[in-house]
Amino acid sequence: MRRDKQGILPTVGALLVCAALLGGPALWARLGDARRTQLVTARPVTAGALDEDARAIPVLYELHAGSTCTDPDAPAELPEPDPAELCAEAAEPLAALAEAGAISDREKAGLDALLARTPDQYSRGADGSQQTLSLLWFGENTTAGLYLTRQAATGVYVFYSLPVGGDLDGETRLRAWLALLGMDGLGDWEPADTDAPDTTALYSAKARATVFCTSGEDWVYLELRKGQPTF
Amino acid sequence: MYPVLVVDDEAPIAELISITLSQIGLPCVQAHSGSEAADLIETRKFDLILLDVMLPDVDGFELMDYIRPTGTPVIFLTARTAVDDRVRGLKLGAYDYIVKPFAAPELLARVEGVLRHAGRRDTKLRAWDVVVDPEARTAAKNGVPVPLTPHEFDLLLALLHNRGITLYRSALLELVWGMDAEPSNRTLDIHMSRLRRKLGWDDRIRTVPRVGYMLEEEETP
Amino acid sequence: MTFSRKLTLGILLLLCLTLSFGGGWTIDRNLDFALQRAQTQNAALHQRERSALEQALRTDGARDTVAAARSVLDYAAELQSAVGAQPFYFSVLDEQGTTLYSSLPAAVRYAVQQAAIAAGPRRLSYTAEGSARYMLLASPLQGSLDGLWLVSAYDVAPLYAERDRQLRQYFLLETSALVLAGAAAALFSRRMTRPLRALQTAARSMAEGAYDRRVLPCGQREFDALGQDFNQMADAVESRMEALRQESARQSRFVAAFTHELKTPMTSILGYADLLRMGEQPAERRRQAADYIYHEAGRLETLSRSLLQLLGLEQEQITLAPVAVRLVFGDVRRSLPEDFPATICTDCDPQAVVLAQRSLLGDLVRNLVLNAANAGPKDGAVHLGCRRQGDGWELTVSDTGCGMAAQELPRITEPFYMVDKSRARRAGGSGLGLSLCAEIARLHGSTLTFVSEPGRGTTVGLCLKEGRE
Repeated sequence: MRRDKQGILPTVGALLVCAALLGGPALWARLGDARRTQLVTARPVTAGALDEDARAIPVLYELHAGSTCTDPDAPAELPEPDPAELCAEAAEPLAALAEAGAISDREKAGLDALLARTPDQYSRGADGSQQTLSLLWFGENTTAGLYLTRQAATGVYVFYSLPVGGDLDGETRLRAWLALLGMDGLGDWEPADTDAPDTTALYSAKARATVFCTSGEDWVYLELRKGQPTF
Repeated sequence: MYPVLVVDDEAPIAELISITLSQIGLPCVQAHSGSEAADLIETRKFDLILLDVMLPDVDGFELMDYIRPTGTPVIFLTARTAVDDRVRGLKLGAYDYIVKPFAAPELLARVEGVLRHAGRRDTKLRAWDVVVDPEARTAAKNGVPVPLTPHEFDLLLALLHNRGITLYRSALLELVWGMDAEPSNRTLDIHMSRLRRKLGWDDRIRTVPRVGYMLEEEETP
Repeated sequence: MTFSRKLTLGILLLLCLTLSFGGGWTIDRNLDFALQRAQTQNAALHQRERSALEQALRTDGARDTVAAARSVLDYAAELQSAVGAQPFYFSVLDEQGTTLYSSLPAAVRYAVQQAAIAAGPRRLSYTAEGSARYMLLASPLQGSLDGLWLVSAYDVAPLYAERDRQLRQYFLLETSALVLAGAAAALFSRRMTRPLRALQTAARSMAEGAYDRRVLPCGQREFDALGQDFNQMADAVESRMEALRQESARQSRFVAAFTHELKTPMTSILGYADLLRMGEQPAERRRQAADYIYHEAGRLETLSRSLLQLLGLEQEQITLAPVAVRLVFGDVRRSLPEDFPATICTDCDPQAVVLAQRSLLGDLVRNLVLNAANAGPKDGAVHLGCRRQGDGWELTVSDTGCGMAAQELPRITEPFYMVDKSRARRAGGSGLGLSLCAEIARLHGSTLTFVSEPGRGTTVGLCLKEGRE
């Protein structure tokens, strides 16, 4: 019949469209594959992994990774130190600290005056990953003690205990010190609560480390420690 | 030889048909209603029936049922012109159809035609020793054909159809030469004298002065 | 294309579109989700591997490239032996881009490794070669020699293979769903449009002349309403057709009757005139012919007069005035011919005054009286009556004559309709009498009512308005 013939073309057309649509999902998948191959996406953050920025800072990297590291080239026994040499060695990081603004010029001058004298007692130690330096000057009824600790792998000082103080507040000192350490770039150093008086702490989630500053009239105490502040 | 039955509820028309047919020697019987006609058909025989379609009591078509068994030929008369009426009449077995109003020559031609066709009657016209065949348009005297021109033959036919009646010149001229032609009385006289000579009817076609011509009637012994 | 097929195809297309896009989207999302899981997993693996490698390098204390290469090689050998059959694909490149170690498959080209290094430790990328697909993660190795990069590759081809399996499975599912849905839709739409087809069949047969064709209700409300409308239309068409047919039949009856009435006297007049002009007819026949011509011409004249009167009445507007009925009856009685065969019996309320046109009302009653006399009353009388009828008066003309059959009554006012022709003709009727009466009644705002029984007589009634103020 003629009427049926007229209707057959659109019908066949519609069925062909249906058949073509059946291949739709496969086509979609192929297009998606091309897109995915070109794709460069953000890598998911692995739980427990150190932030890449923090990881790129050797001090932090060593702080987290190098606790058991021992320098095979380091001498097993430290030679008997020379006091003058130790004083010169100590002056170097203190100068950098003053330069960065973590201690005032007056405090720096006090330290320089101390270092000019030969310490009454002195020692140097190493526990594998850290090297410590202690200098003590005895007064009439006071004792001035200067303690420094540095990372063995990087040679960066991570602990200062200085017998001067009173000029600057804790946070200023810590910010300046972080700049010196090159860790202020992480940008997420936030003050952390501490129960202890005279103590300021800044914590960075990226670095997963805390810097502390405890200070009094005549002493300043700076320390970089991994983990959150615990008091 | 049976008469012709004329069935028409209009007496003047039945009478007119009877007059016309008797001119050519056909005797007529009239019926003015269907029932009258039916009675006549059952009791008498007819050579031909002229039947009006519109009858007061019995329809002309219905009357055909009475007529058909007798085998008598029928010509319908009707004032109706609707085609289906004609077809119906012819289907019912009528031989022919005449629509009113009709002229005498037409009626005669149809009647002669049907009679000849049905073989009911010799339709040749006779006058003394002359025999005229209206169908073949030939005339013979004592069996010898007489050559006649068409006008002469028409004149002869007119005279034969109206024997004993003086035909007016004007009527004859109109009948033979038609309404539009303008032949003179002279033409008619010439044709008539040639007809007389050819048929040897010098004394039988009478000239009525200032009126016309008349074919004498045969003395019936 | 038929509506049901359109419906079927429409449903099919819509379903196909929905299923295809829905399926495509779902499967694509599934793959994305699987890849995301793999990313998390692989990032952790990579991190672990990186830490382990860093530890190894530290432990070995590699301070130059060669030492580092050796360390990595040792580490890899240890790893492969420890993990066993499961391969770990990675490579280590130094600052200059020199490959210190590589267990990567060939599909992971050097340029791709470089690109991964360029993307940095926070990103991951993909590479594909043929059907092989890898996820790439690159990170710098810290703690020993600077500039060392670890590039790990993880095979994600199984995820794609799974996706392809889903695609095949979904294709089968969709195809069978479409076949089933198509069949169901076709069935459903045919069911839906069945009433339409019934309507179509009915309309076609009506177009072919079966005007009595109707649609049966099917139970669906919209279609039933349509069907009812169609049936109403068909009824209207049929009744209109019937009216036209009747009107047409009436017309052709009129023409036939008129032709007959006209041609019958003409036949006589022409025939006898022809006879007279042909020749000298005998005196008796001449007289008879002239007589016929005279009377038949008279008949024609009567016919034309009646016809003209009828035509005139049809267009006329008459003014009605109060007329006493008894005066009208008196007019009628006086107008009857001397030899009127019946006697007139009048039973008229002398108070009867109606709104009428006196001469026309007289014509009406006269015509009815003539008809009644023609019916051949057994008591030889025509009864005229006038009675109160509601607010007005009813005039009646009754006889005890032959009467009429019931089927004749609707047509007797048609022109030329004669119940008994011969009787009417003999009485000189034109066949227009009752038509004239009906027309006059119409002009008076009324109609003629006929009550008749064959053999018992006829009573014609006419109701007129009260003429008294």
